Amino acid sequence: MKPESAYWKEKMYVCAQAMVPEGERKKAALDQIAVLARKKESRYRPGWRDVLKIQFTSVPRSIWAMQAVFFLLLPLAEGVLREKAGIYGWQIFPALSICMALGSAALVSELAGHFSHKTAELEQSCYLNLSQLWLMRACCVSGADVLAVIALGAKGAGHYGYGPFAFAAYVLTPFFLTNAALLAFFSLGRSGKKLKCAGILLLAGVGLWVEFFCGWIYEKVWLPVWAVLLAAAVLLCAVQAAGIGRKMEGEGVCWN
Amino acid sequence: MLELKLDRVTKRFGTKIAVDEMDFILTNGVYGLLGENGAGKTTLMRMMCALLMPDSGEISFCGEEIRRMGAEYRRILGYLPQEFGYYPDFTAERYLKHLAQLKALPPQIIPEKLDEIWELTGLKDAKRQKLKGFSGGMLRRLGIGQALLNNPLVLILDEPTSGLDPKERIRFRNIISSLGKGRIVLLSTHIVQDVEFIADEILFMKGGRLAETGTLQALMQKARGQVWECLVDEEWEKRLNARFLVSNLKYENGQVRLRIVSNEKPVPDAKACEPNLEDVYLYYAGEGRAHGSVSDGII
Repeated sequence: MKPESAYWKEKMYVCAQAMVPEGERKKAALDQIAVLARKKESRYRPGWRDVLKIQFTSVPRSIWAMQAVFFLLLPLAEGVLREKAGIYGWQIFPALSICMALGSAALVSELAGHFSHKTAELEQSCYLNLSQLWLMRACCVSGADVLAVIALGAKGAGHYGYGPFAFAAYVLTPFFLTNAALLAFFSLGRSGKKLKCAGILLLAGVGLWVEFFCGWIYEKVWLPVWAVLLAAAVLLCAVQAAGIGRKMEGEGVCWN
Repeated sequence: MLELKLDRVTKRFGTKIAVDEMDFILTNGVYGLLGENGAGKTTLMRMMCALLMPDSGEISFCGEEIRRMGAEYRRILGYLPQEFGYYPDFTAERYLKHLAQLKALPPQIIPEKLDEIWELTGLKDAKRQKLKGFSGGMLRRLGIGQALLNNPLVLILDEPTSGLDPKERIRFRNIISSLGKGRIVLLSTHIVQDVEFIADEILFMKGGRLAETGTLQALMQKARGQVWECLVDEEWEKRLNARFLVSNLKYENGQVRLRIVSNEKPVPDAKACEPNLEDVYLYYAGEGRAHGSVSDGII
């Protein structure tokens, strides 16, 4: 243990050094203070509620309009088809699929808008960047649409003689396939792969034709196939969306 | 002191090397990035904005890799891309509000910040105009304004003066000069006068590499003795023009006054003169081109 006087001598020496710093030490101390001050600088860091709020307020009007149309007209269209047009059977599914495909198209065309207006690069450099915004927007919008269809299925399935699961599978499978096709079309289109784009259009056309003219695919025996198709479609859609997100995080944003 | 460090940063597009093992440290101040089209300036800037990923090497801000910093880096970044995109049906105010939100500015300070930007860019009277009615210069000013919204510590401006008239360029230069104190400002341009007055340090890029860096004075010093002036007839003018880097050419009473950048005297009666930044630019950009004199017997 140090004698008391030695302890105080050392303490005072340290204090004296701190009080009268030499030039270099002073500069180093000031630099350190500047670094600490910068770290403490009150830069606003939005919490998840703020991020959600920004997400909501930054959603373009076209998306809100599309969602409004979807939520208002989907049950209405279903009712009209059922009551007025007398469609009780499987024909309701292609009609609903087209409604949902229009929703997907609005979402993808909104993304394409960022590129055609050449704002993608700038938006990608922001704190809440484009890939986050778009993926979150896609999840929210698609999620809401899917829930609406499930609710509609649960309510109206009895009218058509299909269970809620079958109803959901018959509508959601084309929905996710359309989404995946649109995303692939967008991604390939921006990469200039026109032949592959044409291939996707052809496949989509064939799918639509089958959906419209082959009523037998809605027979109960094919339900397991629909289940597998639905799982595959969800996966395909997720892969496409993640691919676009990855491209935007990588080099895709410089597609401008 | 802020520090943005490039450590052997390389970027390839297919077989073309856009940026080749770039090593450099940027600290507080204004840096002017000069280079010919295709020199790799935009690719370098995109990598510094974390928009492109280097194939090898890394970029770090105050010791932390910028890709790893992610959103935290973007929070302190201001960027003006070469092509400043906009939504034509948005008003200037709406567009800046949209970007302020994406830059996560606290909602309560956005109106005050926007007022600052209108003042700075001189767009106060046009803030409620739709962007489709904006001139190229107004859009550029708006672009510069948006880059400053979040009071960035790293400000990257890719050809900010393109499309600006001389008066606007002077105004812009004054803005940038005042910004360099507490932050890192990197601006690329091919208008050399833009960086002449405001850049603390100039970076010359050529073929994806940094050909030369230094203060304007240091670069001028290096180019001293490499700039010549001579008065020749038209036939000689053609010969010299084909052989040397001519930075200026002026017709005077049937003869031509040439300003030539060359490491050797181009003609016996040429006089050495003080280089300016344009000469320096040509001096570095033109490296690789033969610098022979007429006495070599080449002409």
